[in-house]
Amino acid sequence: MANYRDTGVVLRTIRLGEADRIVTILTPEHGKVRAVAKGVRKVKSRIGARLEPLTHVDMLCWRGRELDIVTQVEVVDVFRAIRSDLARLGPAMTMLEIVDQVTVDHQGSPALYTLLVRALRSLEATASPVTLAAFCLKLLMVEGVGPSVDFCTHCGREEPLVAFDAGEGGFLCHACRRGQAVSPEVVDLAKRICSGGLARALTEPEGPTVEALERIATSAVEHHLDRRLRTTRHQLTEETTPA
Amino acid sequence: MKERTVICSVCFNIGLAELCSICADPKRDPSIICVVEDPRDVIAVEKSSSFRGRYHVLGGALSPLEGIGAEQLHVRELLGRVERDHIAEVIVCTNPNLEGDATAMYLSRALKHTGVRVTRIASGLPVGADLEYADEQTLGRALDGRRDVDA
Ligand SMILES: [Zn+2]
Ligand SMILES: [Zn+2]
Repeated sequence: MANYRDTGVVLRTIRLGEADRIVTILTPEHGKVRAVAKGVRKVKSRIGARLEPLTHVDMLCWRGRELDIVTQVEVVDVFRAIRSDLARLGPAMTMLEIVDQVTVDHQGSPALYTLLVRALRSLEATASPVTLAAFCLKLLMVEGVGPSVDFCTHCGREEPLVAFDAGEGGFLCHACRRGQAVSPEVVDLAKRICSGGLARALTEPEGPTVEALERIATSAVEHHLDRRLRTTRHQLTEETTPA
Repeated sequence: MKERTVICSVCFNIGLAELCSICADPKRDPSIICVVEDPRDVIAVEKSSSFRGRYHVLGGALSPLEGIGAEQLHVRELLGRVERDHIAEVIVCTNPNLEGDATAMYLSRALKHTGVRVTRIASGLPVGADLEYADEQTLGRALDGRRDVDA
């Protein structure tokens, strides 16, 4: 049982020594795997390209004492459209970072893997600006800390929800309000995402509602991780002034 | 005794004076800039003998996962050079991987308003490989076959 086969999404790679890399991969069966890919930085390497971040792979690994070793890789999907569009690559990188941060080695659930693959496929197909916010809310649900969207998180009453507080873990009514004020449109979009209306939510156009929901969804994830995210939505599309 | 190395004030390559030997060489074409991640990549491209312009060393590539954005790289200085120095072409010679490609797209977009031609080395180099491991012929072919980058 020293060899195992699994599919997975490459989350990140770091250089190791002269020509190797340590590759972090989220799999459904083996959780988050860290494995050495030998010689991949050499130009003649045949598996190097297949172990880039944001690649969906089918692989064969040898189980090592500390780190596993990747012995064979087949590409399932490289998400070409995401890679060639900075407006999609930024959110995709944020999703990879969140998944890496929310898991420890050899842990992770099939549900988390499925969520990541679906979100990436959706982003590849549609470029919806809602993808990252939806991914964050769904991830919190998978983690068991999904925000309540139907009643006030604090008092439990079915009052109109007017605020969001990451510390409270959800939306709040007028009486309990604290944190970030939110519009009814933002609450409605969150409701659609969390209760079976994802496909319709993804058709929402870019605008203040989507941006506000993304801000509160990423802040809720940051609160859950107890850490700020390094990747930001606009990191790859920000302007630079000449020096 | 080892000579003291300094960072070139124009291209951020490693040299022995405030201007590196390539920026100081009047025989090098000043209208073409080859953008690389690292001074080691300058050595790799020089070995290929396929390039007669000048360089710009970014000091890395855009890497959202490592928290490296444009402001951590010498991007502003590149924009300044292109706007000031009548540059005709910028060849983006970053590593052929996710970060290198993202950097090429970013630069192409950031330079769009200047009207400069932005090209990317051809895909003769396999994805995931490091430029500094490329042999001279492969790198030379990749430079010769460069293509325009869509912003
Ligand atoms: Zn309440
Ligand atoms: Zn120089």
